[in-house]
Amino acid sequence: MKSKIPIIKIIDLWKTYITGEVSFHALKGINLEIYEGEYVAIMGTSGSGKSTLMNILGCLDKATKGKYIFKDIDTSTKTNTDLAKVRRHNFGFVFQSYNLISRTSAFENVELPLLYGSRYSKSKRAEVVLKALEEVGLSDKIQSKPNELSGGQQQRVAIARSLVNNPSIIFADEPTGNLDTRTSFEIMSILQKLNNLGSTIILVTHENDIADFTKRKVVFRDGKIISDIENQNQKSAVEELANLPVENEIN
Amino acid sequence: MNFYNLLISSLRSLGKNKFRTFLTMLGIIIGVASVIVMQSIGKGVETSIKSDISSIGTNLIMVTPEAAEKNGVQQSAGSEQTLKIKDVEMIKNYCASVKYISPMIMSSSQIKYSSNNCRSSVMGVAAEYLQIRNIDVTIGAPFTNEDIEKSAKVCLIGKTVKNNLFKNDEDPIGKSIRIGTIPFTIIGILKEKGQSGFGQDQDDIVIAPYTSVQNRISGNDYLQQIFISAQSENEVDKAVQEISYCMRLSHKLKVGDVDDFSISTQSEIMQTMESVTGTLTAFLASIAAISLLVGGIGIMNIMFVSVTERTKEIGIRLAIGATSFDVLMQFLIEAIVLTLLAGILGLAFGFGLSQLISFLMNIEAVITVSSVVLSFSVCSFIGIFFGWYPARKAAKLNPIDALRYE
Repeated sequence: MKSKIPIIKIIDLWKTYITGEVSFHALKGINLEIYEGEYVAIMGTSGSGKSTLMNILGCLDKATKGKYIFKDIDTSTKTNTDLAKVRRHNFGFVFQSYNLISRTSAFENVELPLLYGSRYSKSKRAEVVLKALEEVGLSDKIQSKPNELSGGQQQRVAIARSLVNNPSIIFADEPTGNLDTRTSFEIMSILQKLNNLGSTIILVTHENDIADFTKRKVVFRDGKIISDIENQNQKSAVEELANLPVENEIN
Repeated sequence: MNFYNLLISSLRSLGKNKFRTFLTMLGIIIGVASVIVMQSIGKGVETSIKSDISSIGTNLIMVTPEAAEKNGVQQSAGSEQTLKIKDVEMIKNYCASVKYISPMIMSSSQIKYSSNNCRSSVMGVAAEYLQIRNIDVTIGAPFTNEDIEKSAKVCLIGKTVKNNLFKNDEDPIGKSIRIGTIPFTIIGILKEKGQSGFGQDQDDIVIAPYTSVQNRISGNDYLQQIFISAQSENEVDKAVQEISYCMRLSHKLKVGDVDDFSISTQSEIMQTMESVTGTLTAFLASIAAISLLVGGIGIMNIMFVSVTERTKEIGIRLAIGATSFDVLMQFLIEAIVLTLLAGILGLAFGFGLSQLISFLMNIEAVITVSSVVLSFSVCSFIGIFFGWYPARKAAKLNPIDALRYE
């Protein structure tokens, strides 16, 4: 796998926030390569720079200094509109707080990326959306609004939305942060399945339990990478889910 | 995002806040409705005045003597005693564009019948005057050219005069009334005309042959006015030229001499009237336009609120691939849809209101295409103008800042 050209290559990347006269370096000269099909956990405590890096990798934010090359695109030279088009065709996002558009059905939320810049017909769009919702196991919740769904279900809608434009990379920023263990494992099993099917996933988390499901762990501290290792014993989320003690549910 | 999807999504987001949307639209609704109402009422008044004027006769031409000057003191207009019956004869014989012509002498006299009396205008005219001024005789018959030749002591009276002199439904036809001291026989009653546009009672009048008035009442031979109607409305200008030529000839004016008479036409009065009502309409419309402006500011305000409220949504849209142009269009179209929707409602409301007013005030409401087009284009302009700035604010948001906004 490493023989291929990296899908993401960053060279000496800096991000500096300036508030008044105080400047804070969130990223201090990061170098990183990520290849197609990888499942990378970016770890670290809060304030370590992991989310900042993810936002830059997702072209939601720009680096202060250094290079970020996605495929063969040098993103630092691109305009905001060009970056929007890069996101549109290549990236899917899953956020900690789901970030669904409220009072809009699951179907419409998932359809949204297709309305921007896609030439699909209405029926083709419906087909793709339904397939994505089926993939995350929400075929029966198509018309539900976010406030009618549980946290786990909302996150699954968000995953379906990130899948729908067939992205090169899925960015997941603490996708299990607001969820209980069981639901977290459910979400992780979906992500793991997607990775097994070939999706490249970059996951930001501070929990080791969650990072155990990935193939590679990159650990941050104070804006620098302190370790970057392959996860030799990747756990299966499906198995872990099965091993969870059955909760006493009230019928 | 294509236009159809933008439209659907903006309608949906407006639908999410129905009451707020309605309140925002209210400013524009009232603005457009008032533009329509003001315009239609203004036009209605104009049309009614116009029809008043054309009831006098649109091909009417009046000749009056110029103001006299006595020892360097300028007298009032029409005071010159230069208009004579020979001028009338001259015009009658030589002006082809003239259809009817009548001299006019006016005097104010005490009118008496048995124990009743009143003071009224006595008008001496030719028989053709009734045609020129579209005056109908409802009861009895008008006087004839023979009456004029004989200076017959006959007259026609208006409704007010009849009511003043004849109580208890007495039939005035054939009765003899005294104008001053001279007895005249009533041969007809004039059709009621009501007040003129200038507030005069047009029924407080006695009409008699001009020869009778000249010979028996005023005792002089000059005319106050000559009433003429042209062959048609289109020939008024031509007739004016012919009359002017004849009058100069008749008064033996040399080249370079100033006219000692003036000719006025209804179209001049009409023009004045139009400019007055035009100013009125423009004034009313400008008040309405101010309320449209205020409505527009309301739209801008609510669009700002909407952008702030939906910052997170904007962030989400940007993250999943919307360009800032997409976001700009989304909010712009929302503002335009809002104003146009309000425009349509305002139009319907204004239409209904002007019908109601026209029903209550007995004025014909005329809704012109131009006022509809005007208020609609103003609406679209307001939508674009006041929607632009908030939409641009939304479009300029940084994706990550928008996403983090709480």
